Amino acid sequence: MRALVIGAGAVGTKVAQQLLSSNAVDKILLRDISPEKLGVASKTLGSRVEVEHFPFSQNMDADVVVVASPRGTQLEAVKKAISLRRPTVVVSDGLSETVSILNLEKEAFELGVPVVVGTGFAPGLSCVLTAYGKTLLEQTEEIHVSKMGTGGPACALVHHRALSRMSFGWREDKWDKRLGGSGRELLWFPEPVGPQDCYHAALSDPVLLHNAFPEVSRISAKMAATRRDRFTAFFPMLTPPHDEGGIGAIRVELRGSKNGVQENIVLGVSEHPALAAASVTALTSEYLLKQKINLNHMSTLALIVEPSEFLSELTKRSIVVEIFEGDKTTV
Amino acid sequence: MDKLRRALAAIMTAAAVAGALSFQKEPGVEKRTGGWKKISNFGNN
Repeated sequence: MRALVIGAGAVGTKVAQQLLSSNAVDKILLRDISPEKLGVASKTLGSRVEVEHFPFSQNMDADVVVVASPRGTQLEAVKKAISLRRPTVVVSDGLSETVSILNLEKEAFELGVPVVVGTGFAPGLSCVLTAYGKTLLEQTEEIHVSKMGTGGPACALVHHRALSRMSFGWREDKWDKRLGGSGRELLWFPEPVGPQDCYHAALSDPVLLHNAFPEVSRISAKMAATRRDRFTAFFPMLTPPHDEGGIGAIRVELRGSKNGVQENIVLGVSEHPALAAASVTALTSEYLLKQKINLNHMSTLALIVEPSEFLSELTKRSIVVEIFEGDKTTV
Repeated sequence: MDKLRRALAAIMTAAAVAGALSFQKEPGVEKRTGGWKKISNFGNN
């Protein structure tokens, strides 16, 4: 089995590492247009990884294609993978590009190509947490996702832009547009992240979650940001982003009912975003290679994996899922 | 005079400590901690 990992950034390199350690593949091709990134990656990865200094969407000779390249390059890579009938896993981050990738659904269906869209921290793990939370309720009326932190520089850039663009949330049968950086809400993430001010942002979670759960009447996504983040979002990034951000978190809140009683389920994960995204992406790729996912079209994680099993597997990879059980008063 | 000043300082310190303790015990003033719990078994929640 061969896997092609497109993008040797913070997520792509970790995906390659995890695929190697799982023994799901015999060989990995790690491709990037940056020789510096490939140089760093080749030092940390073993001989079973072949690095390629190639354009992102060329020669995809592999059993699975993992698209973990920066925003703006993913759509072309997915188009090419579909045309070559390669099973594809797309980490997916930016809102507009995710929508464009979802628009390739017809091509994927006609050619019978399995394509999994959104396999990062959020979207990705957030979608699986939502699917798991839904199993704890009889009826789900609202889904609210929030995230804090970024992975590598490409992820940091997407987050920077997301605060200055319109956010899309699903509200009573229509898309509800809100200005990025508005709608402050103080939300509690699992420790050590704790409470953070979160704001509307151009995130792709609501699009993927509405695609998976069209019956849910309200879906929103917010992002933790500081006053400086919100102010500078309207300008180009003045300082280059960090190689990899610190610890981040996601939080998924589901509102609905069980046994006729209104109930809220709050699930969360605190982890380094790039590491969590890589774990979700690598596990999805393994599921595709081992044919644990029976897919011949484009779909999202929330619809194709059994959430309990998937989260149990992630727990084995040291991703800790937590549930909020309410305040405990200590006097 | 010095003994009187020391006695007064001790009384004021005691009063401040007593006040702080009574404030902590006042109903409605509670210390709250987050109630996040790790999920270890996804089948039994």
